[in-house]
Amino acid sequence: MKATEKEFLDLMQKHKGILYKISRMYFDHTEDQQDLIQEMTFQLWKSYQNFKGDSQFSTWMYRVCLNTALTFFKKDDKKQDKYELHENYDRIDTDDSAFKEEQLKYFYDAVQELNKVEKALIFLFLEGMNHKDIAENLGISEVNARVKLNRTKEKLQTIIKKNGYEF
Amino acid sequence: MNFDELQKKWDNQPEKDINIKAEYLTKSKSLAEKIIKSFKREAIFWIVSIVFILIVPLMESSQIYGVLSLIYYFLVCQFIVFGLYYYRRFYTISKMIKQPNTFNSRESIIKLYYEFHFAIETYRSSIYILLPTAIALFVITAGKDKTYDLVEKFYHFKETFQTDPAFIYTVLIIGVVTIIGLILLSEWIIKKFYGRYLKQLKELMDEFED
Repeated sequence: MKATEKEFLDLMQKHKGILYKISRMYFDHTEDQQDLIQEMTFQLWKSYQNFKGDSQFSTWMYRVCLNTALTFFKKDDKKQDKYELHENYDRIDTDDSAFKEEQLKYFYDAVQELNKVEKALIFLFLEGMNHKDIAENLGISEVNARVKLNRTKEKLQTIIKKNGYEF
Repeated sequence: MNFDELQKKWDNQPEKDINIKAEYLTKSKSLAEKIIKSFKREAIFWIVSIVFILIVPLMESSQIYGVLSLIYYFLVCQFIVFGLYYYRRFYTISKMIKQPNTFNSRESIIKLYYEFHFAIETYRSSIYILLPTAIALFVITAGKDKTYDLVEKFYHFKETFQTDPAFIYTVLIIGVVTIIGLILLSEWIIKKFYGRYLKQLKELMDEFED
């Protein structure tokens, strides 16, 4: 393996959380998630030579990964192997980490009902970006980013409540 | 739970163990790559068709001579020139798609959509322009020496219509049905290999504009 390849793969391991979160937001089937992770890694590697370090590595990574996720379409005939949430709706685990994970599962389940741009908006918001940065990443105006984000948050709340979970 | 709580949980969520393999750096399943794959498939089909068209008059069963041969190769040249015209467009868009992504999301999607849309429209217009050429090539190779008689009969349309109207009707019906059939086939090919990608990009653009 070439030195740059190894350096890149090490960087990916360090920032794999971004890949994981985006893939889980965009697809609920594990096979689709894996395909998207592969595609994001490929696109990041393709663009890596052009990354000059003007921005933070994670900022650059958000942009390339979201561009990839937006134009990535899953295969039509996938087996239904999504995370099953509904069976355990009323169960609250006493283990704190399991409880947190369950709450996040409800969130990820609800996110599947958003469109691709709404998913990108929520992802950037949860990563702690302000309206200006969100707008810059997606190429829309700051006002538009604010309006769209508020609308998406309301939509997400409605979906979560509709699914029977308190929000 | 509210969005503040959600954000905390988001930051502290347990990470699944993802293994980033070295092979990921060489394989792509993106929309852009699928478009390029369709272009390549199309180009191979086109080259095979051209070779076939060039070989046909050399085969014993479909040999043509004289003026017909000249007309035939002139039409083949037209076929090649128009093909090169839209393949140049496909090549430009493939090169653009392969470039590392430096745009923001909306910009890159809009750019990809319009370049791709333009390439498909160029392809569609070329097909429509080449339809009569393709039919003429077929008539020449299938009719061989009888092609002269056929042209002669159409040249003296009025007389033929009075003496042999069934011939005129038959040729016209076959011609119209062939053209409609070829148009439908072309539209189906465009929709099957390119249209769905264009539709997906359009939907994404609309999501941004919504």
